[in-house]
Amino acid sequence: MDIAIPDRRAFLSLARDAAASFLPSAWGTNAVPGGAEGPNGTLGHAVGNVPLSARPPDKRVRVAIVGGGVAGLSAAWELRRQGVEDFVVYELESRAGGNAAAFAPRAAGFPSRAPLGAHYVTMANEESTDLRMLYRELGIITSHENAQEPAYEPTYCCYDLNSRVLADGVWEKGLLPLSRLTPAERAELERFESLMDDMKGRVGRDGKPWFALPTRLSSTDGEAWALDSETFDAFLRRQGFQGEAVHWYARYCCRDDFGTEPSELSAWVGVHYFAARRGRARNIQNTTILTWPEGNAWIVEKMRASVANRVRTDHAVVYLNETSAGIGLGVFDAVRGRMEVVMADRVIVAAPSSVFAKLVPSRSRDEAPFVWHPERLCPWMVANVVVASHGVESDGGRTGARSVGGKGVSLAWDNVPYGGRSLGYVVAAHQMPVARPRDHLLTLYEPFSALPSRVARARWQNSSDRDVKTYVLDELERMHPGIVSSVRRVDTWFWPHAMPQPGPGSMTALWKHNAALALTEARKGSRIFHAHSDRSGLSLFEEAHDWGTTQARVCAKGLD
Amino acid sequence: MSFFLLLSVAVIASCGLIYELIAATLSSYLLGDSVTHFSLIIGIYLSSMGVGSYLTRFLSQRAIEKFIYIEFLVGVIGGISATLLFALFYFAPFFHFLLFGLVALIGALVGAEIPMVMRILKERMEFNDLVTRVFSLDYVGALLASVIFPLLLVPRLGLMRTAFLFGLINVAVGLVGYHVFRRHVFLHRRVQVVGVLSLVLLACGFVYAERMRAGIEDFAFPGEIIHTQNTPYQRILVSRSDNDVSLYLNGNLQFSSADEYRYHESLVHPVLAHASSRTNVLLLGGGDGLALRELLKHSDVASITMVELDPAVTTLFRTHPVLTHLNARSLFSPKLNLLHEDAFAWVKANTQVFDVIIADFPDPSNYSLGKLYSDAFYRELRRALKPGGVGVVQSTSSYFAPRSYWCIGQTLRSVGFQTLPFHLYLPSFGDWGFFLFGHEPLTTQPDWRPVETRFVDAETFATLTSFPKDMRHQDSPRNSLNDQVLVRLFEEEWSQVASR
Repeated sequence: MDIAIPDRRAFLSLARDAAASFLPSAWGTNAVPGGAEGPNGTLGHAVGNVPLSARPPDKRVRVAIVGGGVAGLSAAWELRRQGVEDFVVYELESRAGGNAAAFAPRAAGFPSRAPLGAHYVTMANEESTDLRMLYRELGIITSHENAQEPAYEPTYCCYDLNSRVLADGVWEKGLLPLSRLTPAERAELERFESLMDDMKGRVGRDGKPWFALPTRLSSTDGEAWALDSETFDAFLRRQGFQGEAVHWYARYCCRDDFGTEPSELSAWVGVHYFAARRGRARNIQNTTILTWPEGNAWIVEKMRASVANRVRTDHAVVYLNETSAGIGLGVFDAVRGRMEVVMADRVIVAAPSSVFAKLVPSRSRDEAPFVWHPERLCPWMVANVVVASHGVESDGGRTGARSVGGKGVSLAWDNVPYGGRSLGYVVAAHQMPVARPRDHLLTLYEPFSALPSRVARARWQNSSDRDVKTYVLDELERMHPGIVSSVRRVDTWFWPHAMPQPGPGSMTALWKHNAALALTEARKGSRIFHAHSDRSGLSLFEEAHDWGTTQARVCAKGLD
Repeated sequence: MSFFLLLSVAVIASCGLIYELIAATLSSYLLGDSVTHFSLIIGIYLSSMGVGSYLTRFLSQRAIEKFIYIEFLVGVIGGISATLLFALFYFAPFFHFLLFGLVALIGALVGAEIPMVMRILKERMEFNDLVTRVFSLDYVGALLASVIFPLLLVPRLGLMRTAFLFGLINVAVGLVGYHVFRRHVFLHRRVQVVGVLSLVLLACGFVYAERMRAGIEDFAFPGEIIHTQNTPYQRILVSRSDNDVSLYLNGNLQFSSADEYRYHESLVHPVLAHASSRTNVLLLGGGDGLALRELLKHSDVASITMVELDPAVTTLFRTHPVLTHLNARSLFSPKLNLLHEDAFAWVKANTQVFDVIIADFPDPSNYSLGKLYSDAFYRELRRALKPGGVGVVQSTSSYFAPRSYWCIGQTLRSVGFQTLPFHLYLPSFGDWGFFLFGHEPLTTQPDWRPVETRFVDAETFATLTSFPKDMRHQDSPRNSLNDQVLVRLFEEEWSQVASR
């Protein structure tokens, strides 16, 4: 008679799983306010699908910049530096900043804006002169007397504690739960670190570093670029790394910066993450990142404010029309709902490669842009969660008091679940002059790198606001059981095409393409410039800034 | 009879699943890390069910009576399980083992239920029919439980009362079973007494669950709890024993009325004696009004700006009769300008200057509180302190955490302050340290005013500035926002104290 017992057990455990997955959503997800939003897809998809207007131009401008993200604003910044003041920046979203934008959360009284994307930059390498100049102009670098080790503004450098990681219910300092790893895993991590330190020091035969940030400054040495022919995962295995910890760490970093699984990422890019940041500081520990409560939107806002009267948000450039008199731009004013025609001498298209291809369709084969296929554009979710501070604060070591926040080391800037689905969350108040805020703003990040991008986009679009909120709260519940009752608001933002996924070979292809394009442009004296991090394949502030700056410089030179 | 037994299968299946869900949920609440504990508890529970069902082969004699007793036992143990676990968590060592033991016991009893029913039914039904009916009802019961547990029971009743409710159901099954099968029962009185007692016990538990929860929490702290409150910032608890009132924030003792005068007199009177003027005082923290009580003894203190984060603390110390007696109603003083703001944010935005600054914050036990002991914070205090002004900062234990203590002094000096360290003995805390700080070297001839004190005066203070050999100055790093050395030192030193 006992034979049927296993059936019962099997069923019970199924029912139990169902109950367990029910728990968080039943704890009042519905009652939590907030919304699910994303970039303006309707307007974005209208680009290139609007017929040319025969109207005479409504206005003239020397330079039109299409796109008010980091590349566009960097281009504007550089144009002013070059003495060009007659330009306009068109941004189709209602806020500038692109992937580095921020918004004001509607929760009462929170003193910071909330990031919708990029959250930090790093200390600039010595050869990254444009970036360093920007840092000086923004007051991020306070003293440049010592070129190797400039002084950085301490309030912009990440406060202690930089990161903590959750494993087996205990928070531990750092990105890896070292105390829980086997000696073999720890030894492997040390070997990995020293391998990456070695990569940091590599210099090519052309005298340039193997890995530079922006990538444009990297060596063209074939030995370095051989790494582009394999995946990062293959590279790690070829180097004999077997342990879970190294692979998890590598995967975490690859997802964080490139939205890509190591098994699909160019090894050159993977190593670049660890080896390209050589910036040092005189007054701060070298590895410290630079961050602000609102993320990189702080930099964006400084750049935007300096040209505020020349930035038109809610303005979509829907076509470009090259004529002998100049370049006609069809600009759709989404607020007033009307088209205007603008004639410009030069246009800097600071928009993704797909937008550039739509705006500048024809031209010869060697001028055709390198367009990232939608399948190679990783979608991201960024969730801003307002939570009563007692929901995440733990008390620290002394009493071992058991609070909802959890056990182990207390709240850090970056809070990572080891082996988690998401990348964890960043705490806005951490970088503010506040010791104990009543509410915390957590920004939870998740790239959908493990799914085909098409599938992730479709799933998200078919999800209700409630599904989305449950999805976010489930992840937070896993990190802080019981947190749901302290959550006041959840605002999710979905980037359907957040960043390119540079697979093996793509960096070499981009490099060749960019070199060829630069040659033809120089020969013909181009009037349209493409400035976007898509041209580097790495969706990083430093790349966008570099393209904006260098293209603006070429553009300004042509105007003389 | 068969109908009753089959119905009871569905009911006891629900109960069995509920106990398991309770144990798993409670363990993740208390211990964190739901994945490990959920799966461990499911594993232990299922294997114990196997053990239980195996053991039924030794219970075939008088099966009906044994089944009824098993129901009573499951009901009582399952019913009190949540309360018991909650209490054990606070009071018992080896909580994990007790938790797993209890889960195993309940699992074994639940595992025995269905085989017992089958043993009883096998004389009454065809085998095939029996197996299919029993198991389909078993599954229906489990499904029902798994749905109502998260949707209805946890949100409406809470874990403790849910457990008592299902315990009652189990006992009821036993009692109804007794009624249906009374012809097969031998010892009637015993079954009746045990059943009714179980029923009463569980009913009481159900009714008094909330009180028991409060009682368990109270018992974790000495004395009688006179006030508890959860604020957005912390859990406040005030307890009273014979001659003593104590305040706990998040379980940490803040003061004990038996010796708080030593602390607050030493916090207030030396800094006032060293300041060249004492008209305007800034008090950071101190919402209990005890430092304020000492300040108000000085008639030349004209205005006191107090920045206290939590309005609930000041409200409590303004309204509770025991506490207003303790602080002599200082929080009602017309000299007081009370602000409820974060001290760092306030000081950063502040443009006023003060003759005296008193910083009385919780210990730097985490990176948030550590900010209030950083060079960046002390730079703001430098801006807020008049020339000739003097401040004081509570600086943790100079005995238990000497490196933390001297790190605070080093940080004060790193922003350009001159310091004067002193310490005293507090029976309820141990040796405790402070730093006086000012723009100029601190005067060797302080101006002690004749106010009424029990502990500190000029003569006593002279002894407080001398440190015995094991507490003497040691070189310490500076605590900065980018590198909070102090939090790490504090954590290290206090964990050594805890492991002593």
